[in-house]
Amino acid sequence: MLTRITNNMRFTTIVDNLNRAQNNYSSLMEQMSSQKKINRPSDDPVGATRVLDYRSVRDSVAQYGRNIDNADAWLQLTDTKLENIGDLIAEAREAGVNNQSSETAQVLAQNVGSLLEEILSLTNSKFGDRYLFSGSATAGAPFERIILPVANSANGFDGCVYSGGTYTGTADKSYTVRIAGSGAPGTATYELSDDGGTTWSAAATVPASGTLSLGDGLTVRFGDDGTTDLTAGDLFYVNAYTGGRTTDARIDTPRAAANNGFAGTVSLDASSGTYGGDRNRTYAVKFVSGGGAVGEADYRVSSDGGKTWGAIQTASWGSTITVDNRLGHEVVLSLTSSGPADLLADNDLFFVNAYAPGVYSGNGEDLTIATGRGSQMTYNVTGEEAFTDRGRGAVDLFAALESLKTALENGDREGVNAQVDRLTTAQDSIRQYVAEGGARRSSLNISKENYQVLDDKIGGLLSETEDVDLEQVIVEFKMQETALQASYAMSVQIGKLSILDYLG
Amino acid sequence: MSGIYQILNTAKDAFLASQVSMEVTSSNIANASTPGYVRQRAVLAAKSPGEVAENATQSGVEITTIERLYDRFIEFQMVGQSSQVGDASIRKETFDRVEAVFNETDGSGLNDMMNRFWSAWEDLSANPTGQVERTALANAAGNLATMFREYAGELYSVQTDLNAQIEASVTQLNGTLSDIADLNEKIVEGVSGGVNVNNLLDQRSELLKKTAGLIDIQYVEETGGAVNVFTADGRALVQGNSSWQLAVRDNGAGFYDVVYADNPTVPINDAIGSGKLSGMLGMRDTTVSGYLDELDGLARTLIDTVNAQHALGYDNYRNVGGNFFEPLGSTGARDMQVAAAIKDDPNRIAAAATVSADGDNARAICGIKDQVLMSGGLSTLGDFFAALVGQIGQDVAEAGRTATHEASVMTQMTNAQEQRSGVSTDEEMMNLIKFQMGYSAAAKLAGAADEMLQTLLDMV
Repeated sequence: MLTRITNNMRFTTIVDNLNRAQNNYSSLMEQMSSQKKINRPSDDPVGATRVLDYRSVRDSVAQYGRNIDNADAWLQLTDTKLENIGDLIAEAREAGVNNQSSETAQVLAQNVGSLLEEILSLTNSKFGDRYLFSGSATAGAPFERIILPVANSANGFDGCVYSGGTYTGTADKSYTVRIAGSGAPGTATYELSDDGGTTWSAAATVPASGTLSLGDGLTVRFGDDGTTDLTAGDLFYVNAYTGGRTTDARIDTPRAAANNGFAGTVSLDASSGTYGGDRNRTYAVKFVSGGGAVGEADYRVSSDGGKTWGAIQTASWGSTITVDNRLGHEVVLSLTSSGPADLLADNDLFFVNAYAPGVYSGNGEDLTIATGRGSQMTYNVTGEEAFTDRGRGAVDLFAALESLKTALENGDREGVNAQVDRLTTAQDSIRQYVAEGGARRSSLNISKENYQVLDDKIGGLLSETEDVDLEQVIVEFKMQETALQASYAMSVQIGKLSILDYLG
Repeated sequence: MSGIYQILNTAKDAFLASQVSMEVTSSNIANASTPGYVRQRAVLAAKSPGEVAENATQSGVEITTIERLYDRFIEFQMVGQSSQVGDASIRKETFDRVEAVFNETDGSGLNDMMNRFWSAWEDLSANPTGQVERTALANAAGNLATMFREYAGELYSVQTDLNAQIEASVTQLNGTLSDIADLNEKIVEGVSGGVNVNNLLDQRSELLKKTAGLIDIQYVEETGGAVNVFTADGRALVQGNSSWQLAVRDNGAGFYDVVYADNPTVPINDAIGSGKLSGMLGMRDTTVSGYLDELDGLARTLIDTVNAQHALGYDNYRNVGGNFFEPLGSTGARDMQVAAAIKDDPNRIAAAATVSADGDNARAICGIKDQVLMSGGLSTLGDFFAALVGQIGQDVAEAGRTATHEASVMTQMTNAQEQRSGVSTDEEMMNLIKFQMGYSAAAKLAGAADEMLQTLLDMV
């Protein structure tokens, strides 16, 4: 059918065609200048979604890489420190093995003493601001100089001996306890010397509690965990250092969180016993259900530092809360309000650290990092497992060193040999941790390499999805340019055509 | 009576016919580019001999009418299509703005802010007491909240802009409706008075298309020449020379409903099925509002989940973790904030799972990024957002295609109408020559008759 072509139609068609050519041209120009195929989500909705996905994955991968670097650095430092400690232990063993004459024994004892100091400072090594061997309580030093009672190897008594109290003396002192009359605490009698056995006090009965006072605030407690009672002639040596820490179980002063609504005080109640746990623990009490008055507010107790909580307690509790109710080992917090209007608020938190007997002040928690989606790796070695009798070697390193030193000082040859054996065990156990650390590091490195490969792959996919194929775009661009030029030329030619040119 | 005088009469008719045809041609040429102008043609007819004389041998010419050459049915379709084009074009425009908000392709969008936020938690877990890590996290969280607020704010401003446009469109619509009513009156008068109303008809059909561009209408032409205009569901907008005015009314949520001015309590939003107004209402109340809901849902889930996990941890002062994001029970994205306490003191970030300052809670919070919290437990927060961006891209592309399609349908219709109604200058030039020749021929005829008369008189 013959159609009428009007002026408007002709020009509209030309303008439409020009627009289309211009659009194609500028879209290619945008691709060339941004070097990206996808410049807005509608350019390729599926591709745009994928690009976001790839970017997130790459970010995660980079994060895992950073985590791995972090853990690797930590492990590397741990390995170095553990190796150093192993070497020092070897030297201490050496001293024990070389103990041939009583002349050299005092020198060797001094050597062991300074090795102990060195090892102590190594176990308190830090990574940045964080203690390497404190478990997850990285803010506090795991070990301190200790006051450790050492039993003579020939003793009949085979229970544990702990030091207690706080030594207030201004100079270092060596106490010796000698059992004069056999028997259980309450029956046995003892003599005490504070000058290394030169002079002795009159015999006195060991209190039934097993705890006897040495003077200057220092006490010694005979544990009830042995099979043989105190026997006449048993010797116990205690080297007291100023500022040294005693080894018996202890409970810190309870503390309140900074933001508590409660303005009163929290303290350890007099009814608390000796902490009976075998691990260091942090007990916490949290007030819930809107809080309330002392004695009435509902609360929950946690025995793992607030990670998990017990059932909500709704009964009236007077002024004390028992956070550990093992008979004879109760840990009881006492709360005192500062006035009648002083109420406990929701989420008010109180906590108290309880330490098992021994020298370790950190906790047994692992430090972990995410090495992948849903996979984690522990990267720390706690001081508890590496250096105390709660670890794999079951040897308390500091006790062994202190005992070795004391045995050397006192010419206890049997004792020296026993401690050398214990140190060997301790050294082996530390070597195992070093080997494990190495294994962990190499597995981290494999992960890291895998991530590198993954990152490259995803980078490739990302580029494939969003980056332009420059050659192709340039060719297309040239084509569009030619098309646009042709459109221009044609528009001008056709636009000009008119019958008027031919009318006379 | 036949005779020389009759020839002169016929010549006079021919003069007149040529002259009027020339006038029509000149008006066609003058309006060749006038939008909405419909080509006109003088319709010539031989005068029936009966009117002249019983036994006449000649007949003159007369102009029966000045015809508007247009196709009523195409016109009808075009009015309908105007609504489709209006609807699609406003959607396309709005989508382009929405897409600009969600432009995640340059690597500094919400997706990237979320990734940085999770990374900052992970970094903190590696060094839970580190001040640098804490400050970095507080910043990353602040940036994330700001980004959420910006996105939501942009979407909201798209909504408010649409709202303002709705008000303006209603005003514009009222104008065109009352113009149509005015034209109706003039056309009815003109038709009954036998005046040429073609230009008025042109104007009115332009107004109808303009009206339809705003709101979908039905219209009926009456015999007297008036058109009655109705909404798609049959409510009157124009009847004869009167029009019903529309108005806007606050719907209680800060947006306008469209109502009849004389019945302001009943919204007629639902009666508007197409046209720009429909596009604006739909985008404002459904599409953009839907995106905003999804964004809010995402933000709310993020806020709630992070807050819940944060409350299980302990800050550097060993307090139980407070809120990380505020405010509680917020609408989500629009008012998302990092809690003031944390902004003031990053030590209040509860990175530890116990009171001994470990980093386990930070790691647990970072783990939220891998939890399938959205879409009823099917996608992670990141997946959900990526899907939203993909959805928007899809919608934008779809809207672009629809707009292009509707426009090209309109172009086809316009071309079809243009074939009939448009002015071709070539054709008009030929007509010009034709009518000029007719005029010359008529002059020749008059001259011949004159000579004949002269000859006759000379005989006397």
